[in-house]
This record gives sequence, C-alpha cells and structure tokens, in this order.
Amino acid sequence: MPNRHDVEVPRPELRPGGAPRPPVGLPPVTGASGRGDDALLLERVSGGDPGALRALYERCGGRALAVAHRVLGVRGEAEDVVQETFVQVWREAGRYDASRGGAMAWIVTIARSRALDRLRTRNAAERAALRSGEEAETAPEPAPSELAEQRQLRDRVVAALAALPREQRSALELAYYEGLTHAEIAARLGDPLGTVKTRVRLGLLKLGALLRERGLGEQP
Amino acid sequence: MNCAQLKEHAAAYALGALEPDERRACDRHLAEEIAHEGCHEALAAAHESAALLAAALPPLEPGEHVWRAIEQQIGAGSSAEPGRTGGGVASRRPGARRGGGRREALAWTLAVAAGVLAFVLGMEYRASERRRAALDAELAAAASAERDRQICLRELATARVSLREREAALALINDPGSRLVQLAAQGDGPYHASAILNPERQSAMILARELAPQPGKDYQLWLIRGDDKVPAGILRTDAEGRTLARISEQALREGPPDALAVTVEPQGGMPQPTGPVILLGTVPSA
Repeated sequence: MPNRHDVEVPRPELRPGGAPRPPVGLPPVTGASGRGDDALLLERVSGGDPGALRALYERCGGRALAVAHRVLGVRGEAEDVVQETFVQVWREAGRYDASRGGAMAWIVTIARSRALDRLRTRNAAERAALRSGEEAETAPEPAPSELAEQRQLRDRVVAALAALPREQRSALELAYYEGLTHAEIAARLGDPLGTVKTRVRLGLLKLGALLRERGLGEQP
Repeated sequence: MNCAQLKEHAAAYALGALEPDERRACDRHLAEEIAHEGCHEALAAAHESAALLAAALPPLEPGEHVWRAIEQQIGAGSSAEPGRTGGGVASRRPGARRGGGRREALAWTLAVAAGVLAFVLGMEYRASERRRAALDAELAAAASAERDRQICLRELATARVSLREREAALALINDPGSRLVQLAAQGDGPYHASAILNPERQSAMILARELAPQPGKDYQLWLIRGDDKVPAGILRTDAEGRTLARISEQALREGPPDALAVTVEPQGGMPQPTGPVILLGTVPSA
C-alpha cells in the first residue's frame, strides 16, 4: 500500500495593500524643471493625474529610452520597455520614497531593470539572431530636444567616467548595462572575485566624488 | 548584516551586482526597525551615482506612439482626487485677560500656543512615523515580490524552451496582475520551482528544475483549495530535470488556489495524492 501524505497548507502570507494616497495640496509647477519638480510630479501621479505622468514622460522618457536601448540594442524593444516603465510608474508612484533617491533615478532604475529582464531571457543564439536581423540599426540620433542643462550634465558625467581607472569603469559598465553580478563580471574579465568587488565599490564611490567636485552630487 | 557591511555593499546593490542571497541580506537589514547608522543614506547616494551612468548616454526621443500606448494602458481621462490642503497648526489666541497685566496675559498666551504646537507636532510626528512604517512595509512587500520575479526570470533564462514560450512566460511574469509563487523543496531534495498565476487571465505557468526523471514515476502538480487537492497535470521534464509547463485554464476556473504542491506519483498520475510531497508553495493574496 502506498503511503498517503496529506499536503498541509501553510497560512498564506498577507501583504499590505498599496492604494495610492491622495496628494496634499500642491502648488503649481512653474519655471525651470528640476529634481524637486520631478518629485512633485510623482506626487501628482500618485493622486491619479495623467497630465503629471505626461510631464514626467517628457522629462525622463528620453533617458529611460537611452538606457533601455543601450542594454537591448533594439529600438522597438527599448520603446516597449519605456511603455512598461511609465505604466509601472503610474501604478506605483505612491511607493516612491524621496529619501531613497531622486525621481529621475527611480524611473531610470525601473527602465534599466525591465530592460535587463528582457536581456536575461535571451540566450546567446537569440541575441545573435536578433542582432543580425537588425544590422541596419546603428546608434540612433540623440533627441534634438535635449535641454542645455542635460547636455552639460552629460558632458560632466562622461568626463568623470573617463577619469576613472579603466578597470573600474569597465566593471561599472558591465554591472550597469549588462546586469552582471560580481561573479559574472569576474568570469567575463578573468579577474579574481575580490578584485572585482573592490573595483565596483571604489569605482562608484569615485564617480560620485568626482561629480560632487563638479557640483553634481545629485541629478537636476 | 550590520550598517557598516551594508555600506560596503551599497554600490553593488545599486548596480544590481549582488548575488540573490547577498541582496536578500541587505533587504532584511534595511527593513529592520533599528537605529540605522547611515546605511539608508549611503544606499540612496549609491542609487544616485548609479543612475548618473544613464546620464552619460545621449537621450533618445520616444515616438508619440509610445505615449499613446501608455495612455491606453492607464486609461487616460482619470481625474486626480481633489487635493487636500495641508493641515496647519491649529492655534487659538484667547482674548487677553483683563486685570492680570499684559505681561501675564502674554505669557499665558504663549504657553497655551506652545502646548498646542507641541501636541499637534507630536500628532504629526506619530502620523509621520506610522506612514513611514507603512511605506517600509510596502517597500518590503514590493522587494519580496521583486525578488520572486527575479527568481522566475532566472529560471526562465535557463529553461530550454522556444522563443514563443519564453515570450509568453515573460509576458505573464511582467503582468502586474500576476502572482508569483516560490515552491520550496520539502526535505533534503534539490528541487525548486516557481509558478506564475494570473487569475484575471486564467493563465498560469510553472518552471521547475532538478526534477530528475524517475523510472515508473511521474511528478504531478496539485492545486490546493482548502482541503481539496485538484490534480493539475503531470510535469514533463527534460533529461536535466527542467520544465516549463502551462497550467490548464480549466484548473483555474474556480479562482486562484491557496497553494501549489508537487508529489511523486506512479506513472500516469493519480486522482488524489499518494506519494511524497517534494515541492510546496503558498499563493499570495492579491
């Protein structure tokens, strides 16, 4: 006689709900855009303001697309990622916590995360097949509407990256644009794991320090 | 993990370079209700620095069709809830007392105002702390859901399936209405499985690994609702013990189950479980 094993059902874990909070009365956003404005826009999005989402999209969508395209290499997929990102922003704006980073950083992090998810589900053969099918897609033209302040930021970040030791810069780029863990970076570069961990930590610290020297501790 | 260790990990955390168990340890520490020593701030700074890597790229211009697709998905036309004006500090200025001197009246007025201010600030502080605790709980829940999602994605990355199956699984994983279930091995077995259920779409998939083929036996999936164990199919694995299987719509018609389980049964399966439970996971509520 086979043994009978009753399946016991553990108590389901309850998760708190995430209903959006109504906004506290907010002044209208006027004048030049900035970090504080992005946070205010997110507050409005959490209250169900599609106009605020559109404003955020216009401010942050270009950078989100740039990151997604850098990760995936295919414009169509990158645009799908941007779409998914802003739908997620709409649904989860109430969860944004300004104490953990700027709104632009939050949005770009979502876009990067979604792009890396797609990248990870491709195996090597699929990546090769997709790339060969889109050989005509060279580096896309930058948006003509890049604000002067954004161009200035970009120039400074590029200069700061160039000032990093090559090994630190490579480690940061592999982690950020390809979503590799320490162990995967070590395997890719053929370097010891401990060395890679140190390069990632020191590289990001140094990047932050270089940008603070240039008055860019936080994004505009 | 302590705050100093978390600060050491902050850069890798922000870049996503930690291994899953390292990240879980960081999440547990961040969620602890203790007097942290700058680890949240260090992580916020690391996130900012990491996000600046994106600023090194020239921005691109998404096509208008992207915004139209977003509008469609969010249901454009939803109106914002009317804003509330922020609560101000209630204050009263009782009339000055006659016959007690202006100085005494002023002191009394200031004392009352200070007392009211302290009371209101105390209330606002407590409300702020409750709100912070609620947000931290939401964040922990979101982090837990995100971890489950990452585990599913890693399982999918190693599954040997067609591009179409992979895309279908990815769409299910990324659907906000989907619930992710981690089935834990019961006992010492190396088994592991992740399931994705979407009650609204009546669609579900299970990814499993380390289910080594056993002669004369099959791995059978069960949907558990209360005391009922509903058979949901045999898991066909490849030679390396991996599978990506779709759970039938019919099995999901009665709504999401309380739990999922996998047992080892005689070949062909059984109408009710007879063999040992090797995998078990509860389905989170919506």
